[in-house]
Amino acid sequence: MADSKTRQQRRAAERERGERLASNPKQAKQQNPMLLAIGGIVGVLVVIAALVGAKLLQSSPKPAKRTGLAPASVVHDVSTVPAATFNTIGAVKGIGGMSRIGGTPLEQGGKPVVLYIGAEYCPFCAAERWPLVAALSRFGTFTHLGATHSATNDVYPNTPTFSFKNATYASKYLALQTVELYGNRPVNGKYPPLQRPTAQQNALIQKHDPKGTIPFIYLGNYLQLDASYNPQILAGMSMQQVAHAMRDTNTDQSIAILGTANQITAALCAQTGGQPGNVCSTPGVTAAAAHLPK
Amino acid sequence: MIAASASDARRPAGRPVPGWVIAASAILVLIGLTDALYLTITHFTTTVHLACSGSGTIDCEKVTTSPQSHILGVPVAVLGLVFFVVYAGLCTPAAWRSPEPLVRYARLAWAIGGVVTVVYLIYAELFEIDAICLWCSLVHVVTTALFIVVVVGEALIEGAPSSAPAG
Repeated sequence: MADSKTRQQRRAAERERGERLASNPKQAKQQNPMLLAIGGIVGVLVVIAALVGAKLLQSSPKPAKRTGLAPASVVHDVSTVPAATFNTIGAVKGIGGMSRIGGTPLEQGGKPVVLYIGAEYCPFCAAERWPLVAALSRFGTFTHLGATHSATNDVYPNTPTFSFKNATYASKYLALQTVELYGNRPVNGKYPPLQRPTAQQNALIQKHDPKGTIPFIYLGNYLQLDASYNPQILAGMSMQQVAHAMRDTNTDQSIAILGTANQITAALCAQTGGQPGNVCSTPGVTAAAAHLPK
Repeated sequence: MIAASASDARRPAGRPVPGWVIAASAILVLIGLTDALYLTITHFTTTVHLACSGSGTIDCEKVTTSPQSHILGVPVAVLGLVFFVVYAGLCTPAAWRSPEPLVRYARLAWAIGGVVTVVYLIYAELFEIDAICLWCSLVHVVTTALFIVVVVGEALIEGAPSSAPAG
């Protein structure tokens, strides 16, 4: 009985509402909240779909524009070297070029700064980018790494390598700054300038290496000048071949590149306070840390 | 008559709210809160990492360490957490049934503010950072779904006859 009354009341209310709306169509239009709700939802979904659609349209021609990017397989191989492989190589005797420096390490956004200064023509920079990319990939992620080679008319010609010119790097632990000073193809007898160091970067170069050696790799309390190994071991190889060889611990490339990467990683771990632990506490890195310059 | 009164008395007082609206909003808020808490923890600690791909288009770390990961100096992860904590308060059964216009308007404003922020963040991921964070995308989906639930819920309630006793 109660239900029937409630139903009757509801019907009466609905009838009354219907009559009210029918007698005033303008009010009916204004008071249709479901139409407004659906309109709002459709509007939001259309905006989101438009954003995604615009991105898809923008992305499709991108690969053609981005010629000079390092092959994805190479970036993958170099940035995902298993910890076990690094550990097998551990500390390598004869890795050179690193020294300990004084002063308060630079920070950017609360993170220790790593500064690379080099040039695309430079074969020593070409050699050093391999271990640098491998080491930094243990702390963060590179995107848009370029593919290049050292100059054809210099020592160790055509050494295959990455370019940092358009690369970006994201890390929770480190802030990477890179400067590729010159390209690798001479124009009127000179290598074309690509990027210029900032005043702060110039001050750092002046302080630690007024001669302007490249590669100049600032790692907080450590400085890597020149190549840590002989670029000759990369002669005649493609980027794919280097990336493949460096993961095979029986090769010279693996010993040189991963040995240097362990040393750089150990120097970086000293800046990050041993973070991330799953990198800094690995046997390969702790072994390399014991060999860091005092 | 007496039976009818007793039955009405057991029914919660206030506006009639479809059960699915309350349930859906509660579930979505819970998912959003958990996700935002996870993103906040990974933002402030170096021991907990986002379980996410780290290369290519899907790259959580690239997104969460980008300049766009802070709004006016506040980490977006923290803003997300605060957003869902407030949302939790606005989507309790009592809040949904509340006849107080202020609560309704606050919930609607929160839903609209949330979805506008989501549109900005999607734009930032796609066009400025050039990477997508899956955990952030889950927050975006949840916020958009909550927007739908809130506006549809309000529309249904608005269109329904009031259950409050007359007089």
